[in-house]
Amino acid sequence: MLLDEELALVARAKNGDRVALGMLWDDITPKLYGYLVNTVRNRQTAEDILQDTWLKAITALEKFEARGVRFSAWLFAIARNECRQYWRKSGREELVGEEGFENVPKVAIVRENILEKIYIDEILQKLSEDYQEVLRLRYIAGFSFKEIAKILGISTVVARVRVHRAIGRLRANLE
Amino acid sequence: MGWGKENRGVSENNNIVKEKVLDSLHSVASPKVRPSRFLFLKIALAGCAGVAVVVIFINSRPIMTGESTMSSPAMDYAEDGAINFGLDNVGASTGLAAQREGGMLNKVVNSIGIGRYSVGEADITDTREFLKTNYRAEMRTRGVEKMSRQIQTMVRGYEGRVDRMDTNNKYANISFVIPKSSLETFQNELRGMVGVRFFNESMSSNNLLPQKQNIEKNTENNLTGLSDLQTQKKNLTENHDRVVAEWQKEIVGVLRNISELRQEVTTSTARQKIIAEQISGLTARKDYLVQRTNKEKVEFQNQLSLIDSGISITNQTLDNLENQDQKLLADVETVQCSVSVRWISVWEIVNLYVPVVRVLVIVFGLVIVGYFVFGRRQREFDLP
Repeated sequence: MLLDEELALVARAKNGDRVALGMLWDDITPKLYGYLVNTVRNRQTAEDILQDTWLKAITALEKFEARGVRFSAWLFAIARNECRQYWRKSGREELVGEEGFENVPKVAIVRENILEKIYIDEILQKLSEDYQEVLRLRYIAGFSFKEIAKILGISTVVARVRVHRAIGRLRANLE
Repeated sequence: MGWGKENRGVSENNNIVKEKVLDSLHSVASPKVRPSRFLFLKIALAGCAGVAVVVIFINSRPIMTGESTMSSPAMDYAEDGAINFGLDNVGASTGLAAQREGGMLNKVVNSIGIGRYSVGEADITDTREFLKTNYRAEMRTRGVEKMSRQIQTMVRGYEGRVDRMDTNNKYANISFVIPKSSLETFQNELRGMVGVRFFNESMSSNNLLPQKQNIEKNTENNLTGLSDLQTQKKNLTENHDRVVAEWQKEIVGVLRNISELRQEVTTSTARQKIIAEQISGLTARKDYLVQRTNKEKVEFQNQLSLIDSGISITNQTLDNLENQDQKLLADVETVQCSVSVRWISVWEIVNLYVPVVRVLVIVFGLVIVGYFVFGRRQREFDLP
């Protein structure tokens, strides 16, 4: 969804337009949920954080200021914050388990794909959290470098460099 | 990357959660849209551009009017490297060159034409120095006319000579000559008239040794030519005197023989006839000798006149060369000066102390660096 379209929907949502909010949900949630599952590695936790994120976003919708980035970026920043809070409360060790994979639906997924995905996730686990984070934001959420920079509070150049380095490390680990 | 998109999805309770979220929606105010982060750079660039426009506007000045010029004959030979002392036409007017082509006089006359400075390479073994100094100063002031008058007075006070002066209310240029011995004092006084930032000076020296050597060479040639001419005159006179004396002696002898023959008394007709024939022959001989003597005297006078003319011209040339030499030495002892006085605006004065352009460049550079360091950094969201 384009920035202008998103902002128009946000404006409508601020006026209490449920349809607009629903359209935002439908567009953003698959990415956000995928991001959260990959981050916290637990589907139930991801679902809780997803819900909290949206509720907080709606509560603070008035505070949202579009500074050249999409609403979804703001939402991801909230989600990221929620994850941190969750980790602080429960301890990070519990989150980096294999629960996420246990809960992966088996329907319509062939065994080879599952194995391949597990293998890639294992490789990703070897990267630092910073690198994992930029890869999630870049390839799961599909954000631009500018939006990644906005979410992480870094410069666009740093975001671009970090993504390239993460990919480089990933390739090295694959080899 | 397939890995990324494949990770997208929704939870099994997606619809339930969605409904919960949608239920929590309530009407809020319209979204505030902050200005883009490029505003920082835009404002900075607009500020620089504005300052640049102000600088250009302040620096644009109306064209000056009311020009006056004063000039006097300047010592020009130092500039063109030659002094013309008016002997170029001597050879043509006396006609000696045409009459005595290839002779000593021609050599002398031709040498007169060389009596100019020719700026060539000096012999490296000659280490003498005849330094002609040129001094140039540029002053910036808000009172151009007053300062140019002061400089004129100063020049005359140092026994200098103003050669040229162009002045108007915005610009003055004064060319003058002062004694070399006064230069340092003059410089100090000139420097004291304005601040260091408003004064700029340069000095250059040129060795006039090639000119000096040329004068010396010409003098030597002319002295040699004069000596030759005097020898020629002496030889000419001696030859003339000797020849004329011989002929006079012969004439005297002939006249004595004629007289003796006329005094001889004889009645013999034959003898009288012989005597008459001898007298006639001797008379013819005498007439011939007298004629040759007269011709010799005329020729002698002509040649003597030519040689005397040559000697006269050579002496004149030597006098001129001596004057030229003295002028060169005098020239070395003087300094050719040029002082420019230019009006300065208040803005230029400020710029002399605070280089605005440089500051602008630095500020602009800082703005760019600031943009890359801070402007490009993404500010974090205000999270709930």
